[in-house]
Amino acid sequence: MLSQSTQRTLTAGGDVGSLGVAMQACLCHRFVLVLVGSAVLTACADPVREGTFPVAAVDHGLATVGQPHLLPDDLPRGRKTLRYGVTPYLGVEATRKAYTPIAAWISDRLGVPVRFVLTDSYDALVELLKRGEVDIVQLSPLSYIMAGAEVKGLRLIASSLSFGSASYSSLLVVRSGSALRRLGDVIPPEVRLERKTRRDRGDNRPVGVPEKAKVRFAYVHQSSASGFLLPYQALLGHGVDPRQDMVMVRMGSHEAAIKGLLNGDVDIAAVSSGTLNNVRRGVIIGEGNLRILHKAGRVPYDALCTSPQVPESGARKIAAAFGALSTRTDAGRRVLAQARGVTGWAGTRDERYDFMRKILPRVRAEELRDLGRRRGVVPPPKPVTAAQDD
Amino acid sequence: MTEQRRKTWLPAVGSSISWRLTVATAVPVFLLLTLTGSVLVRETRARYAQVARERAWTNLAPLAVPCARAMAVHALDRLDGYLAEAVNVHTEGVQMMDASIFDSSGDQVASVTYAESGSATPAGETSAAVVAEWQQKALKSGQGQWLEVPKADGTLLLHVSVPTISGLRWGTLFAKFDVSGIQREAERTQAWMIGLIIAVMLTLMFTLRVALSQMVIRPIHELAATAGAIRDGHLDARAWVPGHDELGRLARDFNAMASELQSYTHSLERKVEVRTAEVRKKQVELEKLNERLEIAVGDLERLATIDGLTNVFNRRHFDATLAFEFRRGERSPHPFCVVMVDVDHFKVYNDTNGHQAGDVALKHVARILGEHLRGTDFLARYGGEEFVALLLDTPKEAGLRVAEALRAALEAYDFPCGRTQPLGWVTASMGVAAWPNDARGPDEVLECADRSLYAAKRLGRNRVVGFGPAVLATEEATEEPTEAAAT
Repeated sequence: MLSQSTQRTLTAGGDVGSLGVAMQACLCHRFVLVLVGSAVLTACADPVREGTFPVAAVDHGLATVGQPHLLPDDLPRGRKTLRYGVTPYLGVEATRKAYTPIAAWISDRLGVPVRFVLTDSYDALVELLKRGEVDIVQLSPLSYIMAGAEVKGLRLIASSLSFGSASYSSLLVVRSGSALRRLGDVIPPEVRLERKTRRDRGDNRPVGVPEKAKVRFAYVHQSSASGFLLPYQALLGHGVDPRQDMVMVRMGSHEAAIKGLLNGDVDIAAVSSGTLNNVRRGVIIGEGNLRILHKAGRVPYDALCTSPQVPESGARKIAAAFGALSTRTDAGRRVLAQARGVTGWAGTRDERYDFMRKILPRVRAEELRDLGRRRGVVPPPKPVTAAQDD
Repeated sequence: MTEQRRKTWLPAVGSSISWRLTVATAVPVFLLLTLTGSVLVRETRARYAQVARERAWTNLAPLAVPCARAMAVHALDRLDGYLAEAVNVHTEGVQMMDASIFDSSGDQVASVTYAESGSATPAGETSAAVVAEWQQKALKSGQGQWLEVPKADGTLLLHVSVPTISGLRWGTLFAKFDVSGIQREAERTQAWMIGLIIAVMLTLMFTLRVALSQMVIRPIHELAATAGAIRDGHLDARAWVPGHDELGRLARDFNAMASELQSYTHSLERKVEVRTAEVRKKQVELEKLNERLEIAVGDLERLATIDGLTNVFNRRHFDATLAFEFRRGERSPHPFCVVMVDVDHFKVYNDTNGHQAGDVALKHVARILGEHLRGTDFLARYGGEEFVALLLDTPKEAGLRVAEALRAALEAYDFPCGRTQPLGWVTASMGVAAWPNDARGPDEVLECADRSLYAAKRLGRNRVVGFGPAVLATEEATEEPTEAAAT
């Protein structure tokens, strides 16, 4: 819209020059007005009063479904029931007592009978999974990795929560009075010095630790992520070869490892943080006087998976059913009351287990090398002590 | 030539180019710095608000995880302790006034209020409704939320929500922060910023004004002053050349133009001087010619009116004078007399003494007559040895007396060759006629005087005869030829 002066010029039939002057004046005035207006608007603009923080906690969340009941197409072909496999990590009776209400709740939620299956170990559970005899399995992280490599189509649907946490720590613990202050202390100082001297000289011959000076290392078993895999990797990372420099003692369970440490049977134990907390709470063996020597890393809690026979639609409904069960509600608290520490299930991703997929080959390689050494396939390096070398 | 003023966007602020340039530079500087200042102030306000939010978030976010863990194991009794410890944390500029936790069902499970939160009341019920609505939204959001609500005293209350997530969403943590400390800090910074911008603005405007004055306005003023001086005639005035820029070129061209004008003016002046000298020379010559012409004219006039021998008026001039006096007498009557004088036996004098002596005698007669006439009388040589005198304002009796005096003077004078005359000395006869007594017109009065003269000749010469009956009687009595009597 032209200004009045411009309109007058046009109405008066002004020539091109007068029109140009009028337009120029109009534009100049507008430029000044725009500047002034921008300044005023900028100065008077109301600040934003509401907004969102650009950060949020990682929450993968479980999918919610409109129809929670499983339909025939959601079930494995030819099946009308589901089987839920769990390892007796709390003990057979305790685990049965804890998971029976869970299976019942899930059964009620899905509208199909869910039968609870207990196996002796994760390996046995994986075997059942391979044979298609279980539809839902709760696997330890390491078992999930190994099962994922062997069972095609294994679908990760959730991760269990313990005390509201989706992961736990792998710890190397010692007694409070232990002389070990750092992880490297498991190797005597003179051996460390000798190794450094040789390394500086370019001499790759290993320097062994005298048998009497070897630290006794308690681990759970070789399929335990927190009780073996991560601590083993941590020791390797600190220049300690557990099989050469330490006396490795298989304890079978986290509780046994703790007991062995407290009893003085071993000097260092690889256990989970939950087990240590149980010890500190006196849940397992009463109050213990232990000290954390090293934190080997965080491990996701047990992975809840469905077998390849379960269709994807069924897997989503199963995940939603487990996601709806938590201590957030009274009903959930009643169901999970006996599942010591389990507070629910949360969404997860397979990538969270990748770090263990990287560690596992190295540890297995070390094991195989040690096995080869013990069987004579790989000639063991001639161990020398600092005294002999001198 | 018509000067067409070009229309510009500059406002008409006086006629000074200095003011126009000042306005042309100050207005954009003012507008741009005002805009920049507004943006900076607004940005500062936003930054401080963000700092307040980040501090509040830093205070609150770490609390969310233990709260979630406690809620996971349904240890709700721990929550109040967590919140109480968090409220007691003092962060510079930000103070948590109250905190509360809502579970996933939207029920409040814990809350704590800061002891000194009495002043943290939001302004009005509208704000309470806004906060309630915002809380409902935050309960469903997976991200942290914030809300700024103004208090009655103008300061802000910052509401922050953090979802308590530990594996699962266990609830939402809410807290209200008093950010008046940060606001005061922001206001101080804004005041400094505004002051700095104003200082920069003034400095910039002053610098621009000085720079324009030195670089543009001063050369123009100098140029204008020089042009004025040249206009007033000081052609040797020259403009200051500020440099090699456009104004410098203008000043140099102006100076060149002034030099050209000065040299042209000088050459014109020299030409004028030469022309003036020539004119003066011509004028002198002309003046000399005029003088000679005046002399010639005088001579001519004298020759036209004066008798060459006796140096008295000639007859022509006498006739003109007589006609003039006659016209004057007709207008205002005053009497005059005409006296005709004739030297007796002058032919004898010439014949005896020669014409040279005769001429000398005539000169003597004229001189004697002139000496004995009054200043107002008029004497002329009438012809030969005859003279005529016009006596103005003189009645006939007085005229006769004057004539008698003239006759007596001639008689008494001793002419060089007077003894050669028949009477033994030189004498003269005189006839007198008066107007209006004796005649009506000039010719008539001359005739009367002449008749009186002849009457005197007839009566024996050396006498004065006035016109009258005696003359007539003489003429009637005398038969002898007039010519014989005259000679």
